[in-house]
Parts: sequence; structure tokens; C-alpha cells
Amino acid sequence: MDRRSFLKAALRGSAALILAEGIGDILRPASIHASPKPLRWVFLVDTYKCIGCGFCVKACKIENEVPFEANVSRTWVERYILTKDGAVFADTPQEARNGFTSRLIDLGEGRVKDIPQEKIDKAFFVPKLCNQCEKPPCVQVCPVGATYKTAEGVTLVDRKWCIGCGYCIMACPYGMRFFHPLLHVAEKCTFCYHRIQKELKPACVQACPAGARRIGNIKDPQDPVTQIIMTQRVSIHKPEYGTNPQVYFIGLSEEVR
Amino acid sequence: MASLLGTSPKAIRSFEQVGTTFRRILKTAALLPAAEVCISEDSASGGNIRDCSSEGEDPVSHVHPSWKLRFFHGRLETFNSLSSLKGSRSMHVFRPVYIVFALVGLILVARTILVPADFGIQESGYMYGWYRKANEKEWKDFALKYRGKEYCADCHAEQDQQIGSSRHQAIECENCHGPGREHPSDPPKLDLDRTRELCLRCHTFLAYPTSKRSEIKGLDPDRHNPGAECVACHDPHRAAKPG
Amino acid sequence: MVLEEIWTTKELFVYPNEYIYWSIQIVMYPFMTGLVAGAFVLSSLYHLFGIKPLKEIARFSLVFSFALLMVAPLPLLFHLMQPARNFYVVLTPHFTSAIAAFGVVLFIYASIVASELWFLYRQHLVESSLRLKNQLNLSLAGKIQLWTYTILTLGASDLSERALRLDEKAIKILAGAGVPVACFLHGYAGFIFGSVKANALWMTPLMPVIFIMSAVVSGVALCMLTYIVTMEIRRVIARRKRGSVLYPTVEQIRGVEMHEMRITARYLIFFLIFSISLELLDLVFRGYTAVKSWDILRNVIYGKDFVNIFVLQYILGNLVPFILLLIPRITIPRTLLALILVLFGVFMMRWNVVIGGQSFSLTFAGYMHYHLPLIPQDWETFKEGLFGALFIGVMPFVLFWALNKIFPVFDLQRSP
Repeated sequence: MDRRSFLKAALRGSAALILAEGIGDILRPASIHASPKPLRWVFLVDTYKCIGCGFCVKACKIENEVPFEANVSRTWVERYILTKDGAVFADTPQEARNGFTSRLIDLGEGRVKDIPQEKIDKAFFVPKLCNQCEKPPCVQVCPVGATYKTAEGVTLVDRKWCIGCGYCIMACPYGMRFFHPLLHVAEKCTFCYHRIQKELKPACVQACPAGARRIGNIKDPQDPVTQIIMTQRVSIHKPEYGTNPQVYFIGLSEEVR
Repeated sequence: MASLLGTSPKAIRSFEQVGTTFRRILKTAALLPAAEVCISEDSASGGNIRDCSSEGEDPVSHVHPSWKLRFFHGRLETFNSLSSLKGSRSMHVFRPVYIVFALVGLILVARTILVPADFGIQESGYMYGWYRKANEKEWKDFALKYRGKEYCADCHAEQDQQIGSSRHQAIECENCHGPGREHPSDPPKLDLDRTRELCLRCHTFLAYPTSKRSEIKGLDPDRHNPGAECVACHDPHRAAKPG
Repeated sequence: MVLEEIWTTKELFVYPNEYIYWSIQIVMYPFMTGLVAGAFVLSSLYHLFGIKPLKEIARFSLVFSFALLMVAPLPLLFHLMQPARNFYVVLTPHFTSAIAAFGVVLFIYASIVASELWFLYRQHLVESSLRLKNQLNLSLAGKIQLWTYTILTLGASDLSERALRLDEKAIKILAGAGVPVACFLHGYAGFIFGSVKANALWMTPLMPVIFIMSAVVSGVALCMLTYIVTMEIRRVIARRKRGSVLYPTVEQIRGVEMHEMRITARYLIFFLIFSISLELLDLVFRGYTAVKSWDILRNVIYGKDFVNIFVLQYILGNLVPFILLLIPRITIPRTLLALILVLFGVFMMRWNVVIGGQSFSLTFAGYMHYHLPLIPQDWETFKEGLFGALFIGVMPFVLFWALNKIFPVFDLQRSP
């Protein structure tokens, strides 16, 4: 092969690789869908349906033994209120463990704000939980191998091995992790790993009366959640961090933090 | 071998020039004093301070030769002394190395005892899959608390039917009654939440135009019988107006 | 019930699980490792480059570096929620994490410093053990001393010219190898922060370099400071003990060598300039590119943390000592003040990075405020409070005093 044809081939080859990489990014759910493993858990949150009752948070805390009165949770619900003059207010009073029982917006440090109903342009609730990322930064930074991603894509914490350094908590861009107040090790949502093994639904999915939370297997084309993700317009939270989160949202408005 | 170590006379001279230039740069940057002050160690009464910046000194003197010169001459000397040793005296310079190796060995031995056998790289690779495999089973064995409607309906079919034909049909029994756990053996009776705040989770009216919350019949909790228990007048299983 | 709630208050919209998890001990840790690295680099300036005027302070800073090194893991032990499991990082290190480098780097660095100390003091150890062996009727303290010295010699009692020259070679090699390891010891601490993409303030490739530069600054400053203070104390004691046979005379204690101080101060200024340039560069870039996080960062840097950053760190901790050290006819009191301010500035830099990075929420729409626990009410408020930090700050001096008994820094007649 002479130099010119070698260079041409090399150029074409690298362009093809770059293009393939880029396409892989665009077709993310599909690329996971296509790979050979039989099971990969994904979650679907429909923010149009969430009514802000907070039963999900209560059920999660009780199911997973996170102290109810402690101001930490594996999952929570946020409220967004957009006023007609363009202001955005958001709060999550006591991580919504008691739901939203007041119009008053919690501003922290004891302050509240009341927005009259007629000034509200849009308002909605957004449930949040661990995204069980395909490339979890929290796992990357664990110094001892106490947190890990299982073959089915769920990220777990080995409570017997965690040294409590807190690096994983700092590394999560979504603020999903915390120290368990009694066990003093890292803690996070596990998609109720112990329940989904037994073909039960996670506690939050079961508790939700509005059907705003759903879980599915992206590898199963018959799964209704998979069908929605593959056919409807869904979005992910904070894609710029490159974590490939596997919680898909319907109606994730641009104001959502 | 001498030329490999760069200690031929020519090499030494060129290194000396480099050393001189380096020291000149340092002096210009005022990182070295213009006249290098040295305290010679041969005087017992506290030392004479003298200028040691001249280059004509004995190259292997310990007091003040050019540093590069001394370094490479020292290397040559070490090499010569090493090759002349041949078992005559032990090389004490390696004692600390032996200690470090012993410590490393200790750590490696400790690892075989203290690290669980199933700790290693699992399916997700080293970056995402470095863990103790047995932990997966520990999580799978985590106790269930919530059992779901079907579990309650087995015995409480009447209530299940009642609520199933009301507007509260979408609400799980355990949302209000608490988790079933191993009921009826443990706990024999569930702890029902009768508080006002439970009902207000959905029934505080919030006029949010783009949310299904605004479609739930609700009220202003500060105006409608404040402080009273909702279940005093309302039956949640029938979800109808009182009376 | 949540521990971190003791010292965190939240304002506006903050995620429920967000607290200031990395508090005062995580500020202390890079401060201590920076002192370690800086002290070692100062010592290497003499051993490696033969900058003769630094001989006295070189020995001093090597011993001090070792004292600091032994204290360096303490802030981490105080911080860990499971301190009993601290050695897991050596058992099952996950090297994709910068913290896992800790075990390896610390071990290598400790080996280098300990070995260099051994070579530096081998002659003294051998001579002391021989002297004690020949003494009759040793007290218990004397016997312990004899045993300590004998064990520490590691059986290498050859004190010939050739052996001593080999010691010198070894010191030079170790000093040379130790400088990049010292840089790595602190560079990795900077990498720990700089690689966290989730934190808008921490994530910058400049972070490891900024940390290394300010580490050298702090190490050099601390050594100079302790050297000045110790020499002056010794002079005062010598004056009081005039006529005592056992204590060196005032003339024999030469006092602070001003020319040594002057040269070291020049290196300090050089590294000060470098470190402040990098920080200003980072700030200018952030303001110019104004990415999504800039709004909240601007509020933190120019609003909430303005005094901490600009007044305390930049002006008091950088500009004022810079001026003080550059004024001609430098005096000891002025040098002392400048050094204290430099150390304060380096501490504030660590504080502004660690606490500053947790002062805003991941939502970019809320803030967190750190309230350092002052009076300890229980173990938690001690170890992550003011007194825990003070304890860590005092320990190096205590250890240095103890180390000085075996590895005397002053009045050593002969050493490489």
C-alpha cells in the first residue's frame, strides 16, 4: 500500500470511529437496549401525573429503614412555581415526606413565600430519585470499592465495606447520596433492589396513586415502560455531566434544577 | 562504563559549564547570593565565613565544589567503591530498602487474610465493578415491609371492594394503614394514620394549572375545620361527602 | 439527627441530602500535606542543589517534614465516619479514585523521608549508641535511649569516610526522588477536588497545580517561622543560663542566620507569585467564559465569600507578606509577621476551596452556610470542630519536640 492510500484509509477509519461514537451517544437507550445483557433496570417519571402527595417518600423511608424524621431521603419530590412575571420558585419541604400541604413556598431559614393563585403561570411537581447511571461518577470515586454497579445496572453500597469518606456524596451531580444517620455509611436509592428481585415494584412505584413513577427493563421490548421510552419524547436530568442516567422524564421542563 | 556515566574529562568540563551557568542564572534571579557564603567546617571555634564562589577548588572537596561536578565525581566514586567491595563489607545503604520491602510484604500478607475471597472485579469492569460479590445477596435478603393491595385483599376483601369502587381506588391500603410487614403475625394490628395532615397531602387545594393536583377536589386547611381530624366526618374508604 | 445539620444551614432551594459533608478536617488535611511537601522541598534545595547557605534550615525542615508527615493522616481519621476501616484503602484500593492513591503515595513518601533521615543521622545514631554502651550504670531512661539508638542504627555501624560519603550519595538520590513524590503527594490532593465534575467551583485542571504551588509556599513559610522562633528561644535560654557548663554559650548559638532567611524568603516570594497568578487566572477565566454555574459562583465569590477570598486570602495572605518581604533591610520581626500571614493565607485558600465549594447548592439556586462548631459538646463537635483543628495544628510541634530527642536538629557537630 502506498502512503497516500494508507493515509486515506486511516482518515476514513478514524472518521468512521468518531461517527460511530457520536451516533452511540444519540441513540443511548437504544444502544443499551441492543447490548447482549438480558436485564437493565430503567425508571420513568411522568411529571404531568405527580400530584405532590409524598406517599412515595414516606413509603421509601419506611421500606428502606431511613429514619422518617431525619432530613435526608433516598427520594424526594420538588415543587416548581413559575409566576406570570417570569420568576421561578422551587422547594422541597422536609423532602416532601409529608407531602405538600401548604401553598406557602419554603425558602429555608424559616422564611416562606406566598404566591397568590392568579399570579401562577405554571406549577408542577417533579419526583427525583437516583438515576442509576450507566457511568456513575459516584462509583468511579469510591476509594475502597464499597459502592458498585451490578450487572443489571443498579448502583449499590456495601454497608460493611464503606469507610465513610463522603467522596461519593460529593461526586454525585444530582445530590442523591447521603450518610445514613444511624449506620454512618453512604446511602442511596437502590430501586428497591430487594423488591425488584422478587418481581415486586419498588416501594415508591407501588405507593404512587397517580402512576407518576414506573420501573421497567429496557432490554424487554414488550415492557410498557420500554415502549414509552423508545417511542415517546423523554428526557434525562443534567445530561451535560456525561453520566448516562437511566431515569427518564416526561415533561421535564427547563426550569427544573 | 566511565563514559556511560558521563564522567570522562570532557563530559565533566561541559557539565561544569552547565553548572556554572545554572548558578549564574540563580544568582541573577537573586535566588542565590551574589557571593556565595560558606562556613567551613574545619574550624572548631564556630567557623570562618568565606567566599566559596570561585571555581578553582578541589573537585572532590566536601566543602564547596560546583554541585554538578561533585555529583558526577561522586557517582564515579560510588561506582568504583561498589565494584571494589565484593563482599568485603556489607552495603549499609540498602538497609532502609530491605525494611521497606519487608513492610510491603507484610501488607501483601495481611491482604490475603483480611480481604474477603469474593472481592474482585465483577461484571461491570474495574471502574464500576470492583466490589465484594456477597454484598449483592445481602441486599437481596433485605426485609420487605410493604406487601401491596393484593396481599391485603386476601383477608380484607370487603374493604378492598369498597375502596375499589370509590374515588380512592388508586391509593394503596398501606399508604394510610402503614406497611403490612408480616401481618397478621407481626404486627398483629397495623398503626392507622388518622391525622389531618395525611389527608391534606392531596386535599389541600393547590391551583396549579399544569399539574393534575389542581384536578383533585380540595380545600383551604386553614378555613375548613382547622385542627379537626378529617375522618371524624369523612369515610376514606367511601371517599364521599359526609352523610 | 443528621450529623452535618449541626454545622450547616440552608438558604433558598437546596436538595434535601445536601449538607456540608467535608468540613474543617478536610480543610486541615491538604493544609498539613502541603506543609509536608513544602518542608521537604526546602530541605531538598540544600541536599540536591548544594545551596550551601541553606544547610542548617535543611536539616531542620527534614525533621519537621517527618513530624508533619506523622500528623497528616490524623485529619482523615477524624473525618471518616468509619475510622476503624481506614486501612481498607490499602487493602482494596480502587485506583480510579484519587483518594486511593493516598495509601500508596503516603507510604512511598514516608519511606523516602524516613530513609533520608536515617542517612542524615546515621553517624549521630552510631556515635550515641557507642557512647551509651560504654557508659557504666545506665539509668532506665539511659537504657531505653541505648536500645532506641541501637535499633535505629539498623546494624550499620561503619563510620569510615567511604561509608559517610555513601550516606551523602544516598541522601542526594533520596532528595531528588522525593521532590516529585512530594509534589505528587500534594498534587493528588488537588486532583481529588479538581476532578469532581459535580462541583462547579472545584472542577478545573488548574486545581492540582494551584495546590502544589501553595503547598510549597506553606512548607517554606512554616519552616522559616519555626526556625526563627526556635533559634530565638534558644538564644533567650542561653542568655539565662550564662555560666552553665552544659549549655552552649550565646556566642556558640549563632542565632538566626539572616542570610539564610533572606535567600529562603526569595524562594518564598517566587512561589507566592506563581500561586496567586494561577488563582487569578482561574477566576478571570470563569468570569470570562461565564458558563451555567457562573451566576451562583459569582454570588459566592464576590458576595458571600468576598471577605474570605479577597481580604483574608489575597490581600492579607498574599499581598501584604509580599510587600513586607520585598521592603529592603529586612528584619526578623517583619519576616515573622510576613510568614504568619503567608501561612494564614494558605489556610484560607484551603478553606475557600473546600467550604466555598460547598457554599452553593447543586441546584445553582440555593446556598449553604458553614458554622464551625466552636465549643465541643461531644466527640462529634470536637473532632469536626475548632478544637479538633487546633489539636491537629499543635501535634506537629509536639512530635517535632519528641523527634528532636533522637534526631537533634541543633548543635549537631558533623553531618552530611
